[in-house]
Amino acid sequence: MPLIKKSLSDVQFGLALLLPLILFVIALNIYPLGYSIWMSLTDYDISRGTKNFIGFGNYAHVFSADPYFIRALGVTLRFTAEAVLMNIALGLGMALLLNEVFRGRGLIRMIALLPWSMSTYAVATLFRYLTSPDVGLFSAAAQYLGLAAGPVTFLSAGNAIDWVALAFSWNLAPLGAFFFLANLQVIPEDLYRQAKTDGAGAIRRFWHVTIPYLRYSLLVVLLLVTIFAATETTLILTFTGGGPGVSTQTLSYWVYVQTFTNYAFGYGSALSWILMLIVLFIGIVYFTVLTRRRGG
Amino acid sequence: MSEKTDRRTYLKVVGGTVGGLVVGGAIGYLAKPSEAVEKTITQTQTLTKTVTATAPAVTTTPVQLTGPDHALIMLMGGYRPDMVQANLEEFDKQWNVPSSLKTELQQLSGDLMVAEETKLAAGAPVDICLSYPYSTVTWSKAGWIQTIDDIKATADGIVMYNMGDIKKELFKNMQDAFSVDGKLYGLPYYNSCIGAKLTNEKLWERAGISGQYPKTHQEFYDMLPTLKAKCQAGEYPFLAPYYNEAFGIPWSWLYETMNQGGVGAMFEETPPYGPTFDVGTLAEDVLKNWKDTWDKEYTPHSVLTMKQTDFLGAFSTGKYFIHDNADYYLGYMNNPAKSQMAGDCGLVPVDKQPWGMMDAGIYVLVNRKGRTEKDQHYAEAFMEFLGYKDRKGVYYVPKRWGIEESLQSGYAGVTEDPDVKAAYAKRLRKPEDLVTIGKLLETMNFCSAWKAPWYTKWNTRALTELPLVLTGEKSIKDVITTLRDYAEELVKGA
Repeated sequence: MPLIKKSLSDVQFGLALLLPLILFVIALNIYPLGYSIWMSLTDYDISRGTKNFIGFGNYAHVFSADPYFIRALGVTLRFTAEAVLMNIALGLGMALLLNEVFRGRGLIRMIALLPWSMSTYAVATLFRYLTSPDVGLFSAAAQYLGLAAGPVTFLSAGNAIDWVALAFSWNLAPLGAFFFLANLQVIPEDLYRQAKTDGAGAIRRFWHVTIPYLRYSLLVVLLLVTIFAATETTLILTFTGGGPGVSTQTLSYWVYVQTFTNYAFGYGSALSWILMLIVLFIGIVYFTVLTRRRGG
Repeated sequence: MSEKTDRRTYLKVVGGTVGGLVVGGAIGYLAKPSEAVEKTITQTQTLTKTVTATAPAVTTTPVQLTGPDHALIMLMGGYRPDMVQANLEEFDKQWNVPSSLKTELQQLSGDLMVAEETKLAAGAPVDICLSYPYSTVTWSKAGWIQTIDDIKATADGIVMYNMGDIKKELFKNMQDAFSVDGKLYGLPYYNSCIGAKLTNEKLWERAGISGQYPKTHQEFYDMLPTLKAKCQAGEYPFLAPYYNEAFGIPWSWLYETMNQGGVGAMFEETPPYGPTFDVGTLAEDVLKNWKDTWDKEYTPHSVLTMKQTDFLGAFSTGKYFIHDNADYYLGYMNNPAKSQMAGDCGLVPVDKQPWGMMDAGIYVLVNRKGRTEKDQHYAEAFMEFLGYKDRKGVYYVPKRWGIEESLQSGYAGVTEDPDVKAAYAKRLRKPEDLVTIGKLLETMNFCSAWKAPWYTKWNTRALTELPLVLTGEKSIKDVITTLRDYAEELVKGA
């Protein structure tokens, strides 16, 4: 005899159990998403006191009259590309190192995770101080080593976004490293031995044995890093504040400014949906490329 | 245990339990205020009702304070939360607020204005928060805050002072800055002059030019080559205020132009506050001086990415002859715990023209939903306590900020207070700097366009555009034209 009689069908019972979760998802995901779509179709602006439906007016304005959109898009793409490359390089390097057997490996693995445990705000503050010409470590070291006579300015209009990408990657690389490490540990040793027997060198073994196994973790890391980088705001706000000039103003920064500084909630929502569509497009490209069967 | 339960019964039991908890919780919540009032009746003590405003409290009739119906809530940032909390406790003590309803401090992190606006827009329960003159306009238009113009001492003894009397004491320029459409919207948290010229007297002495201060902005720019010649390795003549804050580079352009050409040199002084700056005006001359300062490296190029804390940290290293900042940072620079040039920071006196402009923080009264009449009175009393006087007729909170943090107030009664003056004197290199502070506050103006609801949009654009002049990405004429056109567009759309 079953403990619970079937006076409700399995489907009804399952739905009843899921109901709280469904309501939770509607309240926290579906409703805000729907509301932001609706806002993007209005001229909702607190400073002007307007909230009228204007159709796709905001979207048209983005592409036709916003003098900063194209520049912000360019900065976003550059930042995201740099962040992805640095994350993959750092993450994979760390994973390969941590996969080796050596004394103190456990301790090193723990230390390697530390940057990821720091808040974005803390990372931004840390890098701001590291690169400060007056009180920063890098500037002091350069002067101490006789490489510079006075304070060194690291963040210029030309390279500030590279520094932001570096700070971002330093913070996030351990996440990718542990994805890669998990994958590396399931690669059969036999494959490496066979490849070696066949005369494959270290680079060919890495390319033909290691990389194919890392394909899915690579996809996950690529997706996560792209999404995080394209939508990163706190780091930029705290580290460079979008400057010097407009050199680190990404799309997500521009969304923040329009929404919370200029009070243009409608326009800010439209910008954020455009950003979302761009990220979605990049994600689809990743999936298409990385899940394509060889010779298919 | 072989007791069996069918699914319907199971769901009924679980649903009933959850429903019971929800209903019970709601009843408990609704019952809380009355319970709280019951508790406080036993704690009620007899206090006195004050009806005069400017003099120390005068006793008339005994009143009983029982505390508000709901706890008051205040939003603040991370600056001296210990002192803010102590002030709240003092209010609770003086107004006999029971411990079950003690005034709550909600400390917000990150961008304070954004965090506050998020709460206000969401209709979160808040009574008092911090604002600035330019945000007050938008908040009042959005209906988030209420005017305090009509506050009067109440018969229940909770509200102590008439706003009409407070206004007689509040500095006129602050009243103007805190008013929207002629109605007052806040009382001062602090008052300062941003753009005061702070010096490193040690370097001036070493250069043999001690006391030879510039009297105008142009004289200052003419001095820069001389200062540069006196610099040693790693030193700069000027830490220019081109830092990356809303009150950094955009405000520097505003006050430098207004100091030389008057308030109307940037925007019209009356509605709709259209732009008066243009190519060929004083505003262009200011930017030409900036470009020259930048190109000849009289200032480090790192200022463009500096936030306020970096800006302070840089000057406190003692490697700069002079910089523009808020006058209250004199205390910071002369504090050995915070600065490497402690005891060496002085002020350039006010002579032929003012330096800088107003930088004031305001306590504003939020339109909290469901506020009872009694709660309204407590909120108004709390506002007066923070921005004016306590029940004993003392400028309790303003004096504390003055003594502990060198923050100026909006009342002569605070700035002239012997305790405040003594505290200031300890942080000054030379006694005449106290006179300079008084003159800075007396002569400073504020940007007329702060009263336009579109001002923050224009300021954001200025923050983005002005650095482009320095980096050479845009010409001075292009930037001025862009900012003027944008201001005109905003005026039209308002």
